[in-house]
Formats: sequence, structure tokens, C-alpha cells
Amino acid sequence: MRSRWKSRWCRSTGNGFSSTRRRHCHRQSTGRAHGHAAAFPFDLIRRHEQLFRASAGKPDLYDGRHDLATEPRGRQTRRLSTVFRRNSAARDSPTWGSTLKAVRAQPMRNGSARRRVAGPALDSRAYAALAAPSKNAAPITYKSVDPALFDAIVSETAEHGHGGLDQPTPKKRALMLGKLTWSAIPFDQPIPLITSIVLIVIILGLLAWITSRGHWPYLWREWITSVDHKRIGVMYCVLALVMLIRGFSRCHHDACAAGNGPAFAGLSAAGAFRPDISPRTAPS
Amino acid sequence: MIFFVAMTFMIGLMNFVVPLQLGVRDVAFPTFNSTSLWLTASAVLLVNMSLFIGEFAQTGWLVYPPLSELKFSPGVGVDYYLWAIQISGIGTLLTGVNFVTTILKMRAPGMTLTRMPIFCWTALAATC
Repeated sequence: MRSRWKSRWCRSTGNGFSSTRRRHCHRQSTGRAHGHAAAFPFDLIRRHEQLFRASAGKPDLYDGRHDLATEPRGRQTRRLSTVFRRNSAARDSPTWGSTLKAVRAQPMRNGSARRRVAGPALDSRAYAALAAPSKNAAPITYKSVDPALFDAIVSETAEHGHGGLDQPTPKKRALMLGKLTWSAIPFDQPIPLITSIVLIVIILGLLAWITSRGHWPYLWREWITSVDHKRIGVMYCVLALVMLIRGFSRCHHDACAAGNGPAFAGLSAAGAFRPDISPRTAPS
Repeated sequence: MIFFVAMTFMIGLMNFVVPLQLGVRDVAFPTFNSTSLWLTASAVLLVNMSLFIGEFAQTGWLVYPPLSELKFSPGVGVDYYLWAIQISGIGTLLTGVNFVTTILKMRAPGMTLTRMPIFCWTALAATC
């Protein structure tokens, strides 16, 4: 009851009260209040509060057990180990005794510079090695980067290594073809392959017939390069009819592949032909 | 089916009918008209190439998501379709400019907007 009254009284106080009452409020709110502040050691607050705040306000803290950086001089190198070890003895907790040091920014930069000079170079071979699975890998600072590596990564001509997420690339490909390889032609799917071959044969036969009959000058002059709106309209409609036939053939092909009657083209992507995402095979 | 059949057929019909109904000899930009046709034909050729090189986009008539998203269309089919739509879209844009200019600026004397046939109004609304 008294504590609650004090907390309410402290919240209602402003800057115009005496310093004694305000100091009392501070102790009450940190050392003996409810919640998280109650778990904080009171002796740390009272004896070493100023020391803790002075050191913790420094820009860099690191674990002094590993001695990763040069120990700086002067008042800013104040150790916090005394504080924490004393409190760890009070709390019987041996893990509380780690040593923290506050260092200046310049020694940290010097240490980073030394590691950067001693590190390996990042070239295509090192980039390929990055794709390999690793475990407990130590941090690496590369001293230099191959200037052509970025372009090679963007153009996907860099080596990807083996065993990584990306598939291994056997040899560098020309930029003009991009991802296009012979695997893009569906040799393992007879229906589109045979259809494509038949279609190509028909087109070549039609072109050969036009050439043999000598219709190219007429076609070029009267239709292909024509700007007459009626002929352009007719060619638009012929193009639409060709795509209409192709669309219906695609729907028929999808329906045949599904084996369950008429289907639209979108059903194949929705999972009708993919058992891994089909709602029929999904667990209910 | 929508972009390369329905729209293509409607543009062809408008090409044939609208200048005749307006009483003009040709559209405002005849070369643009021819360019639009062959851009559309190039897009059709590109999307048909995906039948036997790569894979065809199995995304339905309108390429709506989620069918066209990466989860349901992980291959290159949607890439083919996107490029084809872009190429065809340039032609459609030229066609729109052509028809709007023709309908608004090249009508025959006496053919006011209120006397204009409803199909020309449809073409004007569709191309705006």
C-alpha cells in the first residue's frame, strides 16, 4: 500500500520538488519496484551505477576473454569485469563473469584492416566454393574482389560450384541465348513435339508452294506491305481465326491430357495435371 | 484467347468497318495501322514459338494471378506471354491512337458525333 502510494506520488511529482524526494523516487522505481526492475541487483544500482553507465555509454563493447582487439588506454578502457564478477559471486552464477571492454573505434578499424590484408581474394573459384554446403564456417574478410566477377554473376556465366542451391553449369554459354538450351525442346513429350514438327512442315510446304507458283511479289505488294484498311482488317481477322483454332486445339490437348472431358487451358496450371498441387491429391 | 483472338478480331472488324461508316478513304495513319498488324503478328509468332521451345503459358485466357504467379507457372511460359503481350500492346496502342484520331478528326462532312453509327461509338470507347 505504501509502495503503491509512493509510485502514484512519484508519477505526479514535477521538477519543482526537492532533490531528496526525487532521489527517493528514483531508488523506489529501480531497486524495489515491481516487474523487471525488481530482478535487477540493488547493490549494482547503488554502488556501481555510475561506473556501469559510464562504460556502457562507450561506442564499442567486446568480450575481453578473446582479446580480439588492442586494449586501449586511459579512462575509457575501464573494465566492467569487476562489477559483473562481484555480482556473479553474489548470485552464485559462474556464467555472469564475462569480461567486457570498451574500446575506441580506431583500434577496431586497425584490426579489421589487418584481417582484410590477410584474407583471400574473391574470384570465380572462391565464389564457386561459397555455394558448397558448409558447417561452422569462420568469418572471412576478402582482401580483394575480381572486377569481372559481378558481371559474370549477373550474366550467369560464373561458376556456381557443386552441391549448392543452384544447378551446376557445365560450361559458359553465350549471352545471346540466355537460359536457352537444347533441353527447352520437349524431346520427351511426343504430342507437342510431333505437333510442332507437323506444323513446321506445313508452313515450309506452304512457303514452298508460294515460291513455286511465284506469288511472292503479289503477296508482298498487295498484302504484306499494304496500308489499305480493308486488307489490314482481313489480315487481322485471319490472324484471329488462326489463334482461335490454336486455342481450341490447346484446350482439346489439355482435355485429352486430363482424361476427364472438356477442360480449359487454365485448369492445367491450377493443378489438374500437376499431382503435387492438385486438390484431388491434397490431404483433406 | 482474349488478347490474340477476341481483341485481334475486334480490331480487324473495326479496321474494315469504321472508315467505311465514317465516310473516309482510310484511317488517319495508315502506316501505323500496318505496323500495328505486324507487331501483333510478331507477338502471335512469339507466343506460338513457346509451344515447341520452352513451354506454353498455362495461365488461362486472361493470364490472371495466381495462375500466372511463380508458384503455379514456374517455367518460361509466362515470360513468353509477357513479352508477347508487350509487343502486341505497342501495336494496340498505335491502333488506339489511329482510331481516336480518325473518328474525331476525319469524319465526312455532315457526319456529326450524334449521327455517327453506334459501332463507331463502340470503337471510340474501346480505343480511348
